[in-house]
Amino acid sequence: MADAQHDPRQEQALEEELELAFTPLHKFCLGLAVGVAAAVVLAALTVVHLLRSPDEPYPLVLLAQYMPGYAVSWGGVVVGAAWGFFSGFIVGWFFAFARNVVMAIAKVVLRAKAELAESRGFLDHI
Amino acid sequence: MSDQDVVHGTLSRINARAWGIATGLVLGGGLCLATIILVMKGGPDMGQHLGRLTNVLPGYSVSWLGAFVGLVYGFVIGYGLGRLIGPRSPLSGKREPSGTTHVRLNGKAWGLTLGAAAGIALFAVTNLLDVKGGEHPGEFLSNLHLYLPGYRVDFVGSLIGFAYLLAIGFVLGELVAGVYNRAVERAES
Repeated sequence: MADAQHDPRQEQALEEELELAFTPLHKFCLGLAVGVAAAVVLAALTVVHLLRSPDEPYPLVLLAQYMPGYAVSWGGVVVGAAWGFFSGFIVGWFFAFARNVVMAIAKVVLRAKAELAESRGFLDHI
Repeated sequence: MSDQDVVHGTLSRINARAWGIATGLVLGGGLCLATIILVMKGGPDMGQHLGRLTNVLPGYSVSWLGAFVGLVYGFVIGYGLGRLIGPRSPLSGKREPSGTTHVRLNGKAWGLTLGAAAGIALFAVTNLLDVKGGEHPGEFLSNLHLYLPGYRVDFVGSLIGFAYLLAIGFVLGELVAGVYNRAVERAES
C-alpha cells in the first residue's frame, strides 16, 4: 500500500473501488426483479403446458403441493404468476439480505485486520 | 502485481464468496423447506417425485434427515453456482461512484453466466442419469420435452437442453437485471 499512499490518483482509485465493492444490493428491488422473473416463468410454463398437453396436467400439477390453488388451467396461469411473484420476491429479498450480511462481515473483518497490521509495529517503538 | 491488483483480487474473492454463500443459503434452504413441507403433509406416496433427487444427490430422501442432507447439498451446489454467477466487478453495469448507493447488475454478463450455469446443470444431470441407465433412465426429467421440444435423456438431448437453458437463462438474467436496475434507479432518485 506504500505506493498508493504516495500517488494520490492511485489512492483515490483504490478508495473508489473499495467503496464500490461494499455497496449493498437493494433488497426490495432484487425481490421485485426475481419475483417478476419467477411470475413470468410460472405463467409461461403453465401456458405452454396448456397449449401442448391440455388433457394431462402431470407433471406441472405437482406444484399444487406447494402452491395451494394452483392448477394447470387458464385460471392457474394467474394463480401461478401470483405464487411465482410471491416466492420469487422472498427468494430475491433473502438473497440480497444474505449477500449484504456477508459483505458487511467481510468489511468488519478486513478493517480489524488492517488496524491490527497497522498497530503491529507499535511494540517496536516502546 | 500492483497494489490495485492485490486490492481488486481480494475484493473479487470476497464478492464471489458473498454471492456463493447467499446462493447456497437460498438453494439449500429452498430444498430443505420443500422437503419439510412434504414430510409434514405426509400421505402414502409422500415425496415420490422429489425423492427422485436421490439419483443425483446420494443420501437424500424425503424425510427429516433428508431435509438436512438436502440443505447441505443445496448449500454446496449453490455456493459453487453463486461463485460462478457473482459479478466479477460489484458495479458491473455502470460505474457511478458519485451518488450510487446500491449495486447495479450487468444484464448481459449475468444472463450469460446464469444461462450457462443452468445449461451445464441440465447437461450434467442428463448425462449422469443416462450413464446410470436402468429400465427408464430419467423418466421424470424427460417430461421436460414438453417445454423444451427435442429434449430427451441422452447425450444429444443433453446438448439440446443445454442450448435451451442457455437461451432461457440469458433472457431471464437480462430480465432480472433490467427490472432490478430500473427499480434501484427509481428508488434512489
